Amino acid sequence: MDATSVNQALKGFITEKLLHGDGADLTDHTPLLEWEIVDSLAMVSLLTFVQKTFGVTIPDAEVSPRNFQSIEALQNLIVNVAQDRPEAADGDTNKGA
Amino acid sequence: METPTKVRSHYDVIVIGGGPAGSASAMLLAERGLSVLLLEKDQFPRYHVGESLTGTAGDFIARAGLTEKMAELDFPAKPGVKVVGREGAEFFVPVLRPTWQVRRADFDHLLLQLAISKGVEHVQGAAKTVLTEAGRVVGITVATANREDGDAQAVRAAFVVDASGQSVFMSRQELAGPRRVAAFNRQIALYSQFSGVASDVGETHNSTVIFYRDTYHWSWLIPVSSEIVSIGIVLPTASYKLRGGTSKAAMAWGLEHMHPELTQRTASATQVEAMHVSRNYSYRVDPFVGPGWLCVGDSHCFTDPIFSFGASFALTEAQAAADAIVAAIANPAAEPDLLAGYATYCNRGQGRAADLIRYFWKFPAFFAYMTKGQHGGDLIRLLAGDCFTPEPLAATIEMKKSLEDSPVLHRIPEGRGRDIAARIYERFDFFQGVDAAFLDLSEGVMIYFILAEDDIDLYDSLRDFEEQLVSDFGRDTLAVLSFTPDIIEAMPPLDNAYTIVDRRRK
Repeated sequence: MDATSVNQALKGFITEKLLHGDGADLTDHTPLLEWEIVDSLAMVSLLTFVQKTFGVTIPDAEVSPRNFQSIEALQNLIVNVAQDRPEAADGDTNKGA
Repeated sequence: METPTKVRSHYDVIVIGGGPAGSASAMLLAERGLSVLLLEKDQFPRYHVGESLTGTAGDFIARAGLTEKMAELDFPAKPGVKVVGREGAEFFVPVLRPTWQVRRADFDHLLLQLAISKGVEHVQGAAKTVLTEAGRVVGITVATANREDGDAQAVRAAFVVDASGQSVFMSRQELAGPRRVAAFNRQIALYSQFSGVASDVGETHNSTVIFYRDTYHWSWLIPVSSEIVSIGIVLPTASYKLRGGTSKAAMAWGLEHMHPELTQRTASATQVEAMHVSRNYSYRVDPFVGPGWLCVGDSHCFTDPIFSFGASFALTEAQAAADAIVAAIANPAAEPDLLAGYATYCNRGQGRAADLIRYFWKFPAFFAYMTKGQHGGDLIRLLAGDCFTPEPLAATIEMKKSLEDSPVLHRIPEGRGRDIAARIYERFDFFQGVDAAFLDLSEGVMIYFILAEDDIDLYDSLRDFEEQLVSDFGRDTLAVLSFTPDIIEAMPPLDNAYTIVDRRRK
C-alpha cells in the first residue's frame, strides 16, 4: 500500500463527494470533523469507500475521531490497518506512513 | 400547613433541601449518630423532573432496603437506555445493576420519610442567611412555615450541607463561588407526563429512550409507572424561537418531528401533568466547600441531563459528603483536607460525565461505534454512573484524547496562545449562537467571535467565558471581542488569525 496513492484517493473522494468539487483549500491538516466536512453520514460513506478502494476494513475500535480528524490521520490509519492485515491489502505492504 | 415543629437552637449538622442529595446526606449522617436538621421549603410530595436512575442509584436503594418499596410504588425496573438517532442509527446500553424509573414526587418523598425514620428532624422552612464566625460557617437563620411573622430563627450547627438544588443557596450567599454557565448551551427543556403512550416491547421494555436529531435537539421518553410516561423535548434557544416560542408549540413540534418512533408512540397520548420549562440550565459553582460547609448535588453542578445522572450523582456525592463530615467533626484539624478530597471526588465524577456527554454530542456516530467496540463495557459502566472511580476507565481516556486533540490546535504555536485556544476549543462544541471564533496572536491574545444573532443571553455567556479566561490566564494582553452580523464590517482584517471554528463555511 502506497501512502501517496492513499492520500490522493482520499483527497479525490472528499473533494468530489463531500465538498462538491470545491477542494481548493483542502490540505492534509484541514480539520474534517470541526469544519463539519465529515459528518455521520459522510463517515459511513468514507468507510465504504475505504473498504471498496483499498480492500481495508477499519475495525470498530479504530473508528475514532482521532483517526478521522484530518486526511493525514485517515491516511495513517488505512496504511497501518493494511500493514496489520497484509492479506487484505492490494499491493506493496512494506511502505509505512 | 404542617403541625408546628419546634426547631432546636443547635444541631450537629443542618441540611438545606430535602431532595435526594439532602435526604441521603441527612439519613447517612443520622445513622452515624449525629443530630441532623433537614430543612425543606416545599410540602412533599411535590413534582420534580429527573425520573431515570442509574445503576449506582440502584445500589443505594438496595442498601437502604427500599427494593420492595420500589415495586409497591409501581416504579418500572429499568433495563437500560435506548439511543435512537436519524437514519436508523440506534443502540441499546443495558443497565449494569438493577435500577428504576421513578416519579420523583413519590421517590423523593420516600427518601425523606426514610431519613425521618432514621432520626432526622425534618422541618418545612427555608434557609435565609448564613451565620459565620471568623470565616467559619456556624449555622443559618431559618424561616419556618409556622413563623409567618418573618422573624428568622438562628440555628447553629457544627456543619452545614447545602443540598438546595437549583436554588444554589451557598452560591447566592456568596460563600460558594458564583453560578457559572458550564458551557454555551442556551437550551430550553419542556417536559410533562403523559398517559396512553405505546410501550416498547422485548428487552427494551420500560427503557429510557433518547431520541436525538440535530445537535442539541433531543427528547426523552421515560416510563415512570405502568400507566404514566415522562416526555421531555430539549431544543436550542434559537430553534425554540423558530418553533413558535411557546412551550406548547415546541412540545407539539418535538412530538411530531424529533423522531418517527416518538411520533408513533405518542399518537394517542394525553398530557396528565402541567407543562414544565427549564432554560439555559447547565452550570457549575466553584469552590463548593469551605470551613463548616459543603454543597451536594445540583447546588454546585448541573450538567446536560441527557444520560440521567442527576439524582444518581446526588446520592453518590451524599455518601462521600457524609463520610467527610463525620470524619471532620471527629477530627476538626483534618477538615480542610477532607473537604478538598470531597471536592476532588465530585469534580472527578462530574468531569467524566461532562466528557462523556460532550463526546456524545460532538461525535454521535463515533459514540455509537464505541458501544460496539472494545470500550463498549466501559460505556456501560459510565452510563451506570461509575464515573467516580479513582482512575479513569480506558473509554474516558480515549474520549478525552479525541476531545482535546485537534488539528485546529496543532497549527497554533505552543504557549499561552495555544493554551487559550485549547480552552476555546474545549467549549466550541457548545457555542450555540456563535458562527465563528478566531484567535489573533500578532499583538497579545485577541479573540474574535462572530455571533449568529444579537442576543442578551449570548452576551452574558460570552462575558462569563471571558471572566473565566481572565481568571485562569490573567488579564495581560487578553481581549475578547464579539461582532454581530450587522456590524461585521467593523471587524479588523483577520489575515494572521487562526480559525478555531467557522460555521459559515458550509
